[in-house]
Amino acid sequence: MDFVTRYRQPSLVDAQAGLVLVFMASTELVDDRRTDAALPAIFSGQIAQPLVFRNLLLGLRQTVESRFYRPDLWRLLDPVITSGNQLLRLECFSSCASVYARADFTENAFADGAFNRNGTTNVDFNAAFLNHLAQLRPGKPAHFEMGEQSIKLQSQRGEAVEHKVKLPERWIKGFLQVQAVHRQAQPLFELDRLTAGQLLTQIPASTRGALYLVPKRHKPEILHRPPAGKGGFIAVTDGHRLRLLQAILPDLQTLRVYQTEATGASLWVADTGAAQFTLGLSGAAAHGFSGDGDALRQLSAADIDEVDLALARVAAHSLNHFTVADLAQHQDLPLPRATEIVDRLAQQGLLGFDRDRDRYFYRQLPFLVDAKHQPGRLQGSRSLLAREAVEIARRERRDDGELIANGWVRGESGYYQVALRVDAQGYLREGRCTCPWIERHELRRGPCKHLLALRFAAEQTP
Amino acid sequence: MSDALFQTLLRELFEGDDDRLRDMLRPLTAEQRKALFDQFDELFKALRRACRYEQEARPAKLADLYRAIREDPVEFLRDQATTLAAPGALNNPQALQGGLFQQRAYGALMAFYSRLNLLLAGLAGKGGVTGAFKASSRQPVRTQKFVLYVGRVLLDRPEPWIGEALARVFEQVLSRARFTGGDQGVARLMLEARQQHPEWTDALAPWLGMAMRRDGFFSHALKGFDSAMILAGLDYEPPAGEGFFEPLLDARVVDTLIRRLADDRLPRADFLALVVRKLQSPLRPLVAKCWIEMFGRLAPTDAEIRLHAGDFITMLNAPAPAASKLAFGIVERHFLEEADPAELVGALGYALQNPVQALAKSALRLLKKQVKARPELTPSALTAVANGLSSPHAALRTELLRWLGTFELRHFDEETLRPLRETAAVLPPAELAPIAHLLAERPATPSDGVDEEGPDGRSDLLAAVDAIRRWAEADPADSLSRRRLAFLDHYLATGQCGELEATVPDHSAALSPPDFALHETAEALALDIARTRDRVFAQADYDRIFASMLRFAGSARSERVSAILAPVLDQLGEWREGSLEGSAWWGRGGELSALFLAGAWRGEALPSFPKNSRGGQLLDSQFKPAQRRRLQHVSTLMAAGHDALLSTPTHAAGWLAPAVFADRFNALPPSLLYADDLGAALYRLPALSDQRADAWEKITSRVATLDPSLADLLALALAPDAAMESALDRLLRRLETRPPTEPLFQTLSGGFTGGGWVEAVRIKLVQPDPNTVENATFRLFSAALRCRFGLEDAAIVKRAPELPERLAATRGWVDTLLGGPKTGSVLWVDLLFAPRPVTEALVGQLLASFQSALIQETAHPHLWPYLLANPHYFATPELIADQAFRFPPLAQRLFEAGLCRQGRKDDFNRDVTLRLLAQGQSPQVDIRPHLERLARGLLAEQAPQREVCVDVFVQGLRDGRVTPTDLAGALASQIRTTEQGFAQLDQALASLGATGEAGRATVLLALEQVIGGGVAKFSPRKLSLALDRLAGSLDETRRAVHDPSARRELEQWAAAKKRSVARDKARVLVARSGATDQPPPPVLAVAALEQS
Repeated sequence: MDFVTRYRQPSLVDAQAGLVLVFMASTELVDDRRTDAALPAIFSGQIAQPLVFRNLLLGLRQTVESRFYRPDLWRLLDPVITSGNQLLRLECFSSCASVYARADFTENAFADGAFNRNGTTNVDFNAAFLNHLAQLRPGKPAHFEMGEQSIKLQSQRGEAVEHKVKLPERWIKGFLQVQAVHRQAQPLFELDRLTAGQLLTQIPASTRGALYLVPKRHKPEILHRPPAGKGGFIAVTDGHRLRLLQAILPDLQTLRVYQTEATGASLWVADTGAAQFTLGLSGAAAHGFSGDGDALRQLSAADIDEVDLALARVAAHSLNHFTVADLAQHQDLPLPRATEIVDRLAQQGLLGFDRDRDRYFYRQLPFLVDAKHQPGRLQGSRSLLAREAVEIARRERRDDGELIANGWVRGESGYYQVALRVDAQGYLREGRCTCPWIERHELRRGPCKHLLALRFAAEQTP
Repeated sequence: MSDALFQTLLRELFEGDDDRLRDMLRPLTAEQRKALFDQFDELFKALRRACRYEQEARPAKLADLYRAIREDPVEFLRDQATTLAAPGALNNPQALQGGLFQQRAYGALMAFYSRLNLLLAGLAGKGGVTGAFKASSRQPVRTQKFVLYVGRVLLDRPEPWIGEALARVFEQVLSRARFTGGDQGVARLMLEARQQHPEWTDALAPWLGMAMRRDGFFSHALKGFDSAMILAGLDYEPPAGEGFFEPLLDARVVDTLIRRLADDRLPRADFLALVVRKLQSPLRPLVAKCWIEMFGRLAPTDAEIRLHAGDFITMLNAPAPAASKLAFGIVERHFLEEADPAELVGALGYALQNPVQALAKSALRLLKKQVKARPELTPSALTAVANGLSSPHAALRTELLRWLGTFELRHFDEETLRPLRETAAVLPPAELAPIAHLLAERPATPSDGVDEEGPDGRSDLLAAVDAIRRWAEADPADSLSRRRLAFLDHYLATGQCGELEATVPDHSAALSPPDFALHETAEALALDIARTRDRVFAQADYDRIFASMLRFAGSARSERVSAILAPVLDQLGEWREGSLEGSAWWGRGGELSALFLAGAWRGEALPSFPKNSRGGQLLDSQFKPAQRRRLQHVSTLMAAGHDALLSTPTHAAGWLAPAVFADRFNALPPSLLYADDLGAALYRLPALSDQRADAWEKITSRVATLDPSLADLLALALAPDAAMESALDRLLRRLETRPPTEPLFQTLSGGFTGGGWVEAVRIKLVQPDPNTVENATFRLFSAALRCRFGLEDAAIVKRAPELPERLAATRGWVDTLLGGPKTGSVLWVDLLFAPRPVTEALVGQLLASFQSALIQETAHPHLWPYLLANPHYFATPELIADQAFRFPPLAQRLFEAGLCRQGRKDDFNRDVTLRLLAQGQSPQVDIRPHLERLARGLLAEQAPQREVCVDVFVQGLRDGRVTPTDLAGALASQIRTTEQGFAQLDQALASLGATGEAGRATVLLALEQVIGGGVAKFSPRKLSLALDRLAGSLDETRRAVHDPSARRELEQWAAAKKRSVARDKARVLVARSGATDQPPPPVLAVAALEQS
């Protein structure tokens, strides 16, 4: 099943004469293959720097072709393209989902780029398209167009068209996880072109365990152990994934590096001036962006109001690029609530997060995941709460807003000791449970249902 | 008619072949097919389900199915389909089992399933025919040429929609199905479809390449395939990671292509265009090489190359480096002077940023030629060069800067100068000398230390000495601080480096406060026992759990503890049943241990398992008999109300404080004294003579009341020398008269007994009982000897000179331990009483007469290192940790065993080696005599192996077991001798430098020593890496080269007339200035030890 849902106009909520008026937009389902000749392309423009354009797209292709975990398994080749806010974004995951890559083309990447409207599509890069891409030359005109159902690359050699393909459902989970992880990422370094180049060319072809990258100016170093002293380096597990950035090296101007402390996931933004190539590495190749673990670390309630969610979806669509604070203000919601709503929208693949610009962006995806769908662990925690299986031994809300709790949870197959610490921003910083899930993964894949149940119970306790 | 046809087709389906079935289908009209399909439809569904793989299903035979269907198809579908043709009935392990006939049975299934699909394709409607081509991993593998045969049946059909259906097969089924190899006849089907229906050519064109690529090139002669199909097949780029056949990798295909080109059966111009196009695309290196070779074999003429001039300029920046390299050669040879200058300069300028240094250098060379030939291009070339300056390759930057330096300021306009100056601002200032005249001002670079004033070395040193003096005064027992202080004071007073006295490893760690963590609550104990997933209980886990079981004996049946333990106890039934086949029971061994522990804690009888049950088969390997005996003892203690186990360690490293031992011993009623537990306690007593004497003093009165044999064993372990001598006499006499029967090494019953180890047979025959008094006494005797004499090899001879002679005289009983007076046995028994350091020679000697990887247990922990030193020996890392925990002084021998294994290519179990080497991090290990051997580990290709060696060095530096000078000597020797593997050594030096100031100074000292000793014989690469490492170390310490001989050597290199990378690097190093009065690296290292 593959649907495109098109609204005639956005839904609206308005207050007039003391009444709240809600206009919910109706949808029209259209044939997936039908193109509407009356509608202009979502985006159309002359490529200003053909080789930069080529390298970034080849970087994406190399990413989707890569498998860093279980390389014997299949590969997927379907970037998702989103246009909005004068930006053209092409996103993809490596086939093992441990690397997220995104190419952001600003309006400066095109000579006369026309961002006609916001929209999303996803296509495969087939051989013909790649052939055209590979033959782009500096100084020779090339034109790129993004429609609802296809993308088109025109050069002197002719035209290559890629048609829309089915979006893998797995990627929607990936989008959820990526935005949740990257939201927590903090800036670490900004490297100049020389240092970044030196660092990236030293990355070994294969590694086992963590690499410690010390980005000293002019003499960056790659170590297999953390250097003495505090800071000044970044630890990357399975760091050979960074070699994907080598495709961008000729065009790279600066490299900005972010890292999420809790998971070790890192974000590498290679800025070429008019375009950026973002590479997000999960904490380890074996733990890709394919679950909902990090989003669950942020959840502070098991239930969410469907009306709030629907209204927020409309707001997100109209804001297009926004922060959680923007959405909270726009919808008059408390920040933690707005964060939960953002997670739910991201869970449906509707939101991405651009850490470099510190903004969410809206993806107009077909509704592949039911809005009412909840992760299994969330459902499990609700069931535990309903069975009153949570026994809180200690609960403390500190002055700084931090919540500390421990207790026992009686699961279906065991009796588990659970302890947690939630920071003032509602993020589960620490969590321990004696269940097999946490024993095996710790918090790398997010909290277990027992931790979630204890958290919800502790937060409901006065 | 229809019934007769139905029966005929049915017979052919079950008993016929593809061709006959096709012949029968060919004359049928559309109506007949429809009618037959209606008859077959439900049958198709049932039979396809029966062919789908299921792990467990009631098996059925094809003949039985045929019989049932033939007699009454309707009744079959109504009553028998769900039973006779249940899902998986034809495709499950039971249906296909039959030993040698298994393959034949599967072959029959493949053929049947192919015919089934052939029939489906011949009868189904428009929407159903593609179903015949769909495949999944649960369906039987198709026969060779399956797609072709089924496709032919489709092509035979009279309906007008066949072309459309065939296009859908190519589009939806074949192009998206993962290609797993094998000739399915896809290309041949495409060929036949195009030949029979030329009007479909355009409709099928999009899948021409895919079809040809799947299996068309399997026919090396390409017989029958036209040029359009061949070109499309070569052009097609298969999805990454799928096992498509790469045609140009096959020389026979290449020869065919060349032959076809020669006799014009393949249009040369189209083929050349294809080659040129392919070379511009992102090819994998191996594939790019094929296309480049093909280009070479084509030998295009000058005119042909000129036709593709634009392509070759594009190819200068091709994604595949090999293609770029080719393009540089062609552009230079054919149209360097005729190409559009602006476009060429643009392409060359971009190529300057190529991360492949050789390509960027080629671009620079061509750019220089262009500018020389056309001076008017200078401004645009200079802009390109300014962009290329931030290349990561220093050599390229140097060339670019040299060239830029040849231009005068007047050559540049402001627009060119601005990017140049911006780029220069991020370059190392030392490189900017050639273009100094082009820069407005010298860019400030605070992070670069070349021209900075170095730190005040002496005041830093004085501050460090003050700090060490304070530590030494605060802790008079800290002998390392005292020795460091003496060394540094001597330097400050005389300006000369003295000798730093190294720390002698000892057992003083056992003097630290007890740190063996016990469970705080009964619930914590229960949770620990219940944590069984992916777990192997280690010795420390057992000790902790045993101790806690005694402490919380009364809480085992509390509600919460019972709830926690319930999932563990619930597993008992599963372990008592079933087999180990087809499931992951091996990985769930922790559950078995947990079952025993939980049961014993609750006061229940220990479980028993039938011999062939899962538990029965795994018990001995997962919860070893020795541990079960200890658990039995714990149960006895619990029943007696005693709350402590004699052998529970007091320290996480495994030590048991002698005073604690004495207290526990005195509190233990004699009836509860268990020999193995006493032995385990004795192994753990540290060699701290005062504490041992006190302990002996405390227990003497209790010892006197014990059984004489036990009293003698305790005297052997702890009593003063005189008492020990007489006790030893008595014990030896007793062993002569009542010798032990338990062998030194044993496999476990129910384990790998089929492995061919002779000893296993012997043990099974003799079936020694480890619980006999003789065997228990001998194990305790061994523990008492080790408790007293440790592993000091000469000590036993010195302290009991007559023992070896006595043993030689009474070899009879000793030899029985190993089944006969063989050379190897003699050696093992010698080691049992007088262990020696583990060396390659000793291990080789031992293993020559005693080879087995199947040994699973020995009651004498100090014999393990000799087994583990064998790189073929399979063990788990946990085993090594367990041995050191049971007998802490064993760390030295385990470390030596690791040294024997390290660097051996045949060591396939490297985790074990890492764990063995990691024992060297323990302070009681003397690493000084092994520095050279350990330094060889820095050459290991695997980073974890190198890092463990670095860890050992760093730990040794920190606790003073090795001095910076010793270590630098070992490193210098390794640097001098290493050629292959120097890159790994360089990485290891970087790691050592990253551990802190002391590590950095030690590396610096080693490098200065090496360079001072002369580097003329070094390869250019090695010298370059060594000089880079030296420059890095000097940068970090903000110093200049200190060693006079190293400085002289560098000055000689810097003054060399011949241009080389080494000369440039030596010049930079010589030009460095450091702080005045800098202390030499050994002093720096000693001063920094504590900060490491």
